[in-house]
Amino acid sequence: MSDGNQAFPTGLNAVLFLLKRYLLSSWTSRRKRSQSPVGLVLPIIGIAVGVCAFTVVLSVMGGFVDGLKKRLLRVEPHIEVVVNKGFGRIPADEELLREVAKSSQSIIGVSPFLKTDVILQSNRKPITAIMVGVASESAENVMQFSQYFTGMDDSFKQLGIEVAPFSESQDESDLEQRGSFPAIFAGKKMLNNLDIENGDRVTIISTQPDEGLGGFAPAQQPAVVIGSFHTGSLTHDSKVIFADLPLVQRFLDSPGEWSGIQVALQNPIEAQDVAQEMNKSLERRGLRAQPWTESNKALMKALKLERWGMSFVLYMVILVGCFSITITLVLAVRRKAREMAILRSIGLRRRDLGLLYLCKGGSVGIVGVIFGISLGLLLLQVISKVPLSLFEDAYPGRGLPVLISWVDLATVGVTSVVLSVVAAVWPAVEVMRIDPVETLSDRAG
Amino acid sequence: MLSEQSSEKRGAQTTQALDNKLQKIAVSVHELKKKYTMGEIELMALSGVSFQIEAGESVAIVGESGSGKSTLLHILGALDSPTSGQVVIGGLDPFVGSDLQVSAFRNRHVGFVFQHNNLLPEFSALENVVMPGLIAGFSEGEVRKRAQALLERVGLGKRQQHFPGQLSGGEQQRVAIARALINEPVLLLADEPSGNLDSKNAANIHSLFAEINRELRTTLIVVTHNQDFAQSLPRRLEMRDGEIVSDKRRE
Repeated sequence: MSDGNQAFPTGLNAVLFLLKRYLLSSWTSRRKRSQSPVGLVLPIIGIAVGVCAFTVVLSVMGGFVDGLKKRLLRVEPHIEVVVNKGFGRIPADEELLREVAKSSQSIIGVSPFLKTDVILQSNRKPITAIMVGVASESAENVMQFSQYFTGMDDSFKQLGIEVAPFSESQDESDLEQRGSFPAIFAGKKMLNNLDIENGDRVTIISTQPDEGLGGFAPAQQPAVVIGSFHTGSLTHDSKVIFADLPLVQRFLDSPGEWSGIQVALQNPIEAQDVAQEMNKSLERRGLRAQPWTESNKALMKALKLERWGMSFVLYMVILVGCFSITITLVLAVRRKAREMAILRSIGLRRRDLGLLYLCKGGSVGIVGVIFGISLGLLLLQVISKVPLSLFEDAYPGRGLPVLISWVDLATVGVTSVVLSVVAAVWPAVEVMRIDPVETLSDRAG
Repeated sequence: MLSEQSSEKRGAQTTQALDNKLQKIAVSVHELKKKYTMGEIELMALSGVSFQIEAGESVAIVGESGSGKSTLLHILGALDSPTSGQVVIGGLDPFVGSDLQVSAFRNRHVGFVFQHNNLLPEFSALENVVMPGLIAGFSEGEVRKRAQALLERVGLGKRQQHFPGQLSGGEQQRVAIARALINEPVLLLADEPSGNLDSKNAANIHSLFAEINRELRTTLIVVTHNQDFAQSLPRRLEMRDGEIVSDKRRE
C-alpha cells in the first residue's frame, strides 16, 4: 500500500470481482445468492432457445438447399454458352470449343449440344420431350451422369451406335420391323409414363411440320432406348432424352449447327464469376455464358428470400430473449439500489457500475449462445440420424439432410452477444443514475 | 482539455496536501452552504458552516434531526456536493473534477460508516473489506492480507468468511469500520454508527473508534445522538438549523 498515493483507481479489478460473484453466486449456496437463480436463468433460456432454433432451422434449410443444388447440378450444365439474344443456334466451330475450354482455369470440360422439343411415341402413347443431342466423345466431361444410369453401358459413347430393340416385352408385330436404330437415353420416369422399358423401340417425332412430298408431315425417327437415368430431378427424369449430336442435327435438318456449348467447372459455386469473365471475350462473337444460377434464377431467389425471411424471424426470437435480459437487469438495479449506492460510497465510479451491468448482459448472452448452439448441434445430430415419419416420402429410411454453416453460427453467436450487451444499456444507464446519498439515507439529517 | 486542467489542479493540490500535513489541518470547511430544492420549496440544510479539524482529532457532531449534520457528513465524504463554500480535506478539494476524480477521492481519502445495512450482503466479511482496495486498483491478493489484519484488529479474526446475514449488528459495524480503513484514509466519517445497536454493543463500537483514532491517528468525525459517546470525544460540534451553534473541547 506504499504506492497508495500514486495508484489511481481503475475499478476494473472490482468490476471483475463483482461480476464473478454476481454471475456465479446464482448457482452456489442460497446464502450467497445475489438474486434468485430464475432471474438469470430465464434470459439465458430466452437467448438459448432463439440461438438453438436458428442453428437447427438454418442447418436443416441449408441441408435441403444443398441437396437441391446438388440435384440440379447433377443434370444442369454449370455454364451454357449460347447466342446473346433469343434462342438462335450457333455454327459448329471446333476452334470456338477449344477457345472456350481455355478461357478459364476453372473449366474442366466443354461439350457442344443441340436441343429441340419433340414428341416421343411408344406403341402405347405419345409424350412431349426435350431431345438433347450431345457429342458422344465429350458429353461425359460436362455431365457427371453415369452414376445415375441404368442400362447396357453407362456411357454416352453408346449413343453413337445403332442397336436392335432387345426388350423382352417387344410385341411380336414389332419383330417384323426389327432392324438397327440409333440409341438414345431417357429418364426413368419418362419410361414409366410411356409404359416402356430399356431396349424398347420408340419413335421421335418433330414438333415442327416439315414440308415434304405429301404435303406437311413432321419428321420422324425411330430409335431404341438403351439406358435410363434417375437423377432425382423430376423435370429431367420425365422430360429429357439424350441422343447423338449428329443424329439430332440430321433430324432437324441443320447440319453443322449447335444450340451452344456446355461447360463444366471444378467448383460450380464459381459459375457466376467464371461466366462473367468468359463474357468479356464471348460478347464480341454475339455469344454469352449463362451460369446455372442464372438459368435457375427464380428458384435461387426464392431460396435466398426464404432464408432471409427465416433468419429475420429467428433474430426476432433472439431479440425477444434479449428483452428478458433488459427486464431482469432493470429489476436487479431496483432491488440492489442500496448495494450499488454502497459501492459508489466506497469509490466505485459511475462508469464502472455501468460497465458491470453491460458485462452482466454480455455474460448472459455468451452463456445463452453456448447453450443454444450446443443444444442445436445435439438436436441436429438426432435429426440427421433418426428417420422422421413426416418426411418419409422425401427422405425414406434416413434423417433429414443437414448442412451446418459455421460462418452462420459464428454470426448469430456474435450478433446475440452484441444484442445482449445492447439489451443491458438501459439497466446500465439506470444504475449509473443511482444517487448514493438519496439511496443510503434520508436527506435531511 | 478539462481533465488536463483538473489534473494540473490536482498536482497543485498534492503539494498543498504536503503543506497541510505539516500544518496538521485535516479538514477545513469555510462558509459551506447546501440548499435543497423540492418543487417550489427551498430547504437550507447548511447555511454557512465553517470550522477546521486538525489531523488526528476526533470530533462528534451532535444536533437534532434535521439540523444538517448528516448533510455535512455527506459533503465531507464527497457523497453530496455543496451549493457554495469551500471544503478542503487532506489538502484536496473533493469537488474538483469529474465523477472519476470525486470517486477516487471517496475511495482513497475518506472512509464512511453508515448507520445500518452498510455491507454487501452476498460478499463475506473479508470480501467486503477488500472491495475498496480492489476499486483502488490493487490486486486481490495484495489487499487481502491487509484486510485480514484489519478484521483481526476489530476483533473478527475468526469471522472473516461469514456473510453479513450471519453477523450481529455490532459485528457488521466492525466490518464496516475495517472496510472504511482499508485504503488508509485521511478521514474516517461515521453517521450514527451505533444508532441501531443495543447499549453494550454500542459501547464496544465507541471504544473501537477511540482506539482506532489513538492507534492509527486517523481523523474521526462522528455524527451521533448518543450523548455519552459524544461526551467521551475530545471535541463536540453542535448543530442547529444548518449552523454550528457551539464548538466545545473537553477540558
